[in-house]
Amino acid sequence: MSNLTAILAAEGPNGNFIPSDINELYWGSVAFGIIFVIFLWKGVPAIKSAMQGRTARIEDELAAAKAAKADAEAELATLSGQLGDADAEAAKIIAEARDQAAKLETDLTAKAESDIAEAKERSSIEIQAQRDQALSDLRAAVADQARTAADAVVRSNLDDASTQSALIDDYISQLAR
Amino acid sequence: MSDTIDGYAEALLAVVRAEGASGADDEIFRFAQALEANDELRNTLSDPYVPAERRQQIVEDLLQGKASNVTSAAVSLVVGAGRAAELPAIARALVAKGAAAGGKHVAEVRSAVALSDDQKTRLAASLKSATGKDVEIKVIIDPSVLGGVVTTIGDTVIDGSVRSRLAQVKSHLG
Repeated sequence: MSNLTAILAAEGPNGNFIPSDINELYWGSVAFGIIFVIFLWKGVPAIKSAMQGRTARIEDELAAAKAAKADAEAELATLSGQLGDADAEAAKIIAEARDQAAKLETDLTAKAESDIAEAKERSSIEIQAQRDQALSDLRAAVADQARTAADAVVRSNLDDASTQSALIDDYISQLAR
Repeated sequence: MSDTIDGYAEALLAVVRAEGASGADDEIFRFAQALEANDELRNTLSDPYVPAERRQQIVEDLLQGKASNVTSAAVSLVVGAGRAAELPAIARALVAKGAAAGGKHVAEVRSAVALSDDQKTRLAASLKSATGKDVEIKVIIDPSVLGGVVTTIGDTVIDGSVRSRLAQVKSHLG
């Protein structure tokens, strides 16, 4: 400081660079030094602290953004995976539904054919049974008519006393043989 | 044959013989057959709620003038004793015992019409020829026979009835 003052002082007392009053220079320098020291003592740390805080905040924000990005990417990957799984599941369900529909169609067709065949068989049996029953009824009716006719004929012929006597005589004759 | 039926048959046979009523056993037999064929009469004469006197009176009214007094009394005795339901069996036992006493078997002859004496005689001869047994003919009028004769001697049945022939024809007709 004193060297600088001496240099300034050596440049002459009336130059533009050096004030004419050396005391003014001296006290001005002292005041400057004090202010500079105060600046270094208080201002620089404050600025440094503020800068560090800002840097830390920015770094934190960057880290948070990075983390958010990573989360988002992970979520995206998950969603993409799920979407892929959902597509596969949907394809699987559709395939199973088609298989079941095809199987159901096959089963229903087979059952319908079976029912038709059974119905035909049943109808055939019923028709045959009805035919047999009708024939049986007809035979029974004819036989009944024949029996009734035979009974009537025999009874009418038996009304005659001589016929009754002849039957008894015939019985006696057959016993004697 | 139960002892009761046999006992009644023996007693009635003894009465018939004691009274010398040779035709009484046949009359008792015919009444028993009529009783067997008539459900209403059988039920009435067998009804324990109908007083015995009333049942005996019915018997006497039915046989009045149609049978001997011995027959009427014998039947009244059985009916009064509450044995009307057993009378057919008693009558069969009675005629069987009577026939057996003469060395004969009873031939129950069912016919739709009555047989003449000549037919009975010839039938007895034919039955002897067929079975080797002397028989006493007991005719039972049975309209269900229709025609011809069904003869039963003990366990032997000789069926020459129109009913059986008609049944065979019906059977063939299905």
